Parts: sequence; structure tokens; C-alpha cells
Amino acid sequence: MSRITVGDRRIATHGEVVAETLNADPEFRAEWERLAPARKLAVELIRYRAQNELSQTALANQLGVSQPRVAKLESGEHNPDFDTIAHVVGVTGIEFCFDFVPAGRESKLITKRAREQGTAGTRYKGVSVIAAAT
Amino acid sequence: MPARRSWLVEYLAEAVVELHTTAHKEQLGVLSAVDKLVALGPSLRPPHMKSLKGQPNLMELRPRQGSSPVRPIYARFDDAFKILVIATKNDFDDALKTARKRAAQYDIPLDRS
Repeated sequence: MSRITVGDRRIATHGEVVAETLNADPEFRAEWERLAPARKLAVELIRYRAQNELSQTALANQLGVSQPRVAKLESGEHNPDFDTIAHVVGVTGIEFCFDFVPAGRESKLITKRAREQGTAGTRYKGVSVIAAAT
Repeated sequence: MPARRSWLVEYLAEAVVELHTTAHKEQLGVLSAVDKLVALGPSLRPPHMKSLKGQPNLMELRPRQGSSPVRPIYARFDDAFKILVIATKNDFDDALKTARKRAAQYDIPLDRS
């Protein structure tokens, strides 16, 4: 049973709900954080489709893959491999940054703006992963 | 002007309770779907969401490309989105009634966007 309340309006932001859910279950947290890069790629592909008014099939044609492959990438439930990321970037022009940093250390390689916009996956195999895109 | 990077998405407390009664796999799907709404707002497109026919300002998220039986029902309210109900395909008609009832309780108008 959730105890989330915000004043007497009884609402919670998405961030609060995610935090509560992750805090309640370490296994869930591990899976959520592991898939942070997948979610970032998914969002950027959907954004690209929206900006260019493309269907999944049209994007699949651009990428030279099947529509189910685009659907899988947009699901955010499967981490992309580097070949896939490179191919997506080459075709769409989306710029991605995946920064792997030892846990607890601040990244020296990417900007503060990228960190703020990024999706951090702390404790993923003992490192912090920041996925950012522009 | 740079594209907006995030939108405010809030859950009614009842929806949070409903979310936490679903299986973990479905919770993951729902939170991932809402993540997309946070990032994209009104730019989120099918098959990740669907406007509900005959239900002004009510939309559903479709976790896992629609393969999940769970359907969060949400509304746009001013410059934010409210998750009203975490419905399932099986109880969808009842969930729509619940969504409208909760929207009224929380003073969320459904007759405008």
C-alpha cells in the first residue's frame, strides 16, 4: 500500500513514484537502472519520429530494419548494443552520449548540462551510467 | 528554441496504490511508459499512447507497445499530465467511469485540454 501523499491533494510526481517503487524492491531497482540506456534510446527514437512525423514503419525503412525491430528499440526494455547505437546515430543524426563512471565519482568527460539531461543508472554493475542525447 | 526536455506527470494516490498491486513486470512497463510521457508530453505518439474515442481529454498509455494488459488512463491538465487510474484491459469500461469520477474529485476538468 502506497503512503504517498502530497499535502491534502494526494498526488505524487513520477519521480516520487519511481523512487518509492525502487526503494521498496532492490531487485526492481537493479532492473530499472540496468535499462536506463534502453529507455534513453527509446525516448530519443520516439522524439525523432514525432519531429519528423514518421510512423514506426517509415523509421524502419530509414534504418533498413523491420518495424518490429523499431518497436523493440522504442520499448525501452532491451539495452542497445554499440553497433545498433552507431547505426541509429548515422541514419538519424541523433547524438548520444553514454558515460560510464565509477560509482560515486563525478564524470569528467561530459558537461553538467548533459548530466542534468541524462538518465543516470547508478549501481549498474558497480558503475554509474549516464545516457544523454541531443 | 530548444525542445522541451520534460513534462510534469503526477499520479493520483489511488493510481499509485493500483500500480503497486500489479506484477513487477507490469510495474516496470508502466513506469517506463510514463517515463516516455515525462520526456515527450503531447509529442508522445501511438503505439505508446492512444486518445480514447468519445472520452474528451482522456488518453491511455500502452506499456510494452500494447502487449501489457495494464492501461494507465491519464488526462492533460494545464501544463501537466495526471495519471487517474491504472486500469487493465479486463476492467477498462469500469476504469473509465472511475477515471471520470476521480477527475471530478480532484478538480481536473476533462472538457478542455
